[in-house]
Amino acid sequence: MNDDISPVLKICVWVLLALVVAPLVVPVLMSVSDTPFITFPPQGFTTEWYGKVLTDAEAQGTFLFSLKLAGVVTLISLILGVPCAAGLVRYDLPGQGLILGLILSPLIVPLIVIGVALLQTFAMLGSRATFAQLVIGHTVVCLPYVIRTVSGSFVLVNRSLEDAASVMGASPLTVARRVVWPQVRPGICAGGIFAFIVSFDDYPISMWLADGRNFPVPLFLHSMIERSFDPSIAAMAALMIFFALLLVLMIEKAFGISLARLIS
Amino acid sequence: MAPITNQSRGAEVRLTGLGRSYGDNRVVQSVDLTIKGGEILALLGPSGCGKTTTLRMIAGLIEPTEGDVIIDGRSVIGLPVHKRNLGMLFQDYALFPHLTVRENVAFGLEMRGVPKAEIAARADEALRKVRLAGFEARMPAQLSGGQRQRTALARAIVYQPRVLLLDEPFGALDRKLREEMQVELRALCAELGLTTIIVTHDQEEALILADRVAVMEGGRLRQVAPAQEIYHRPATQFVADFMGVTNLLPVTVTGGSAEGLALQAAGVICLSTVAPDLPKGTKATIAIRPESIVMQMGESMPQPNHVTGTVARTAFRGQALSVWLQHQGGEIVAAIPTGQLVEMPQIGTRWTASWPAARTLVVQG
Ligand SMILES: Nc1ncnc2c1ncn2[C@@H]1O[C@H](COP(=O)(O)OP(=O)(O)OP(=O)(O)O)[C@@H](O)[C@H]1O
Ligand SMILES: [Mg+2]
Repeated sequence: MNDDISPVLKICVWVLLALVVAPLVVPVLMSVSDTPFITFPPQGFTTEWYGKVLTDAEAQGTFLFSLKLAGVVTLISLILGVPCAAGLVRYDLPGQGLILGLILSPLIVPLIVIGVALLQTFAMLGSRATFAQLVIGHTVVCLPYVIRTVSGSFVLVNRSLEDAASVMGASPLTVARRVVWPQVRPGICAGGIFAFIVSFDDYPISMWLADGRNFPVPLFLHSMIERSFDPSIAAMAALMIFFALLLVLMIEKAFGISLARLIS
Repeated sequence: MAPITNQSRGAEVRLTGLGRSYGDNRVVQSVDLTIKGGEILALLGPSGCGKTTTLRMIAGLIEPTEGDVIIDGRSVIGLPVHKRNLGMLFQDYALFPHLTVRENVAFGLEMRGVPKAEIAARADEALRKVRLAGFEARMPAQLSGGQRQRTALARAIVYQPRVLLLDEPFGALDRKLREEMQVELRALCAELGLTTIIVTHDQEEALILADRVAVMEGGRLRQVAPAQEIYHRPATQFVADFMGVTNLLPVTVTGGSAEGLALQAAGVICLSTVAPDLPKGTKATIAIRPESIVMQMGESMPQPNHVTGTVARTAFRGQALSVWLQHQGGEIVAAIPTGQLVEMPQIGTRWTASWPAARTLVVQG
């Protein structure tokens, strides 16, 4: 950290970090407790609960389902989001503000409301395709994240590099591949990983749209809490935290510096 | 993509009635200009006069709203940028940050489908030409400003473009490096026989680099002439002012004779041997370069091209001393070469300024 940052600001940052991180530490600590029920502070140490969760067929099934769902949602969010972000940045379109506002609105409207609205819509249409419904619901909430990060990276693209490339004889397609892509790749990857995490962790939308065979991890976790109260729930929660952390570290590792530019 | 064949060097560029408007704002209008094959032309003008717009219209990066761009006898309107086979140097150099110096230079050759082995050889050859041998493997971020500029230049010439376009290429360099690069660029263009169009707002740079200078003002061409001529014979007051003539006096023609054209300014009688024949009574402006003026101490008899006054202020500029002389009709500024300075003009003393009739320019407006 920089030395000219005022101490007040430093304290604020640390308090904020503590507030964000502390609740995450609790389930991790509880997950290693050597007791048949959840306690805090933990007593003893065991990795038994992790073993139980990881070998549980139901848990594995729901984990694989969430991976599949998040994967499909990420793909669709990128396919829709990247051209949309590029278009919004590059062209002066009529109603640009309105389009952006609509796309970003899921960040403002409570997710639970969006979930209900989608459920009612699908019911009215008589749809039974649960997986497709989940994909649509998740894509609606993931798209804003993709568009925000990707449009950020398009804003930073140096246009004169493109001019230089085309004067040197590069066709528009070559310019996109050789000049634009290397510049926007970090933003697109980050947007994709954000979308993946948001979909993987989503509860409020899935709650309305899931069924017995299409059952993502957060719902499974909730049902486990209702069924039992041993530390395997904490172990499951901790695994989700580690998984998300791993993804964030991957972004940081791959594009740390360029990302700092994007977000600041 | 189909490889672009290397054309013969130095294409002729012809602009006919070229213009560009943004809404009602005519940023460039009615530009008629022919740049001969192998010629170096400077497009000179103040900020915002439309130089970059004109250059980018030639490159194809901006569509003209009127007129035509003809390269090698063929109109290139509608021909996409990447098929025009031009070279361009951008003000910020626009080097690809993720490619090495060699890869940057190789880019244009790659686009032309040149075989791999030949690419490396030609890229290195171009880097040698701009004296950058040994830097092939560096990334642009590891280069100094001058080295980046050379890389950009090598990248623009390596595939022997039909025309080389430069937009304020030396703006970011310090003075010494700039002068060095100007001389090198001039030599390089001559060696390669490239048709070159260079945009600048620096009159000195235009004179150093160009065979001909085109002065622009408010989106229009004001004068196009060889460097020497534009310096010694500016056609209009604007061009004169832009070319560093600071003494502009409104005059009335009083008559012509074998000796030259006689003119009357406030407090000064002038005689010009380089003026067009103007009828008596015509209003005009005379333009005298500060360097053309000779200063002598003391009063003088009334005679043409002589004016006596009081030294109002002086300014030391290293090579020359600028002296402002207040006379009864106004003020006139002289630049005395420091090497010829015998006596320092003291403020408040009486001096006489005089200048040759051959250096008394008469301009319009
Ligand atoms: N996209 C645009 N929309 C509207 N006006 C523009 C646009 N691009 C340029 N202009 C205007 O056109 C005029 C000429 O611009 P141009 O960039 O050609 O100037 P210039 O001679 O290169 O100036 P400088 O020396 O400052 O680079 C300016 O007044 C500018 O404001
Ligand atoms: Mg410009």
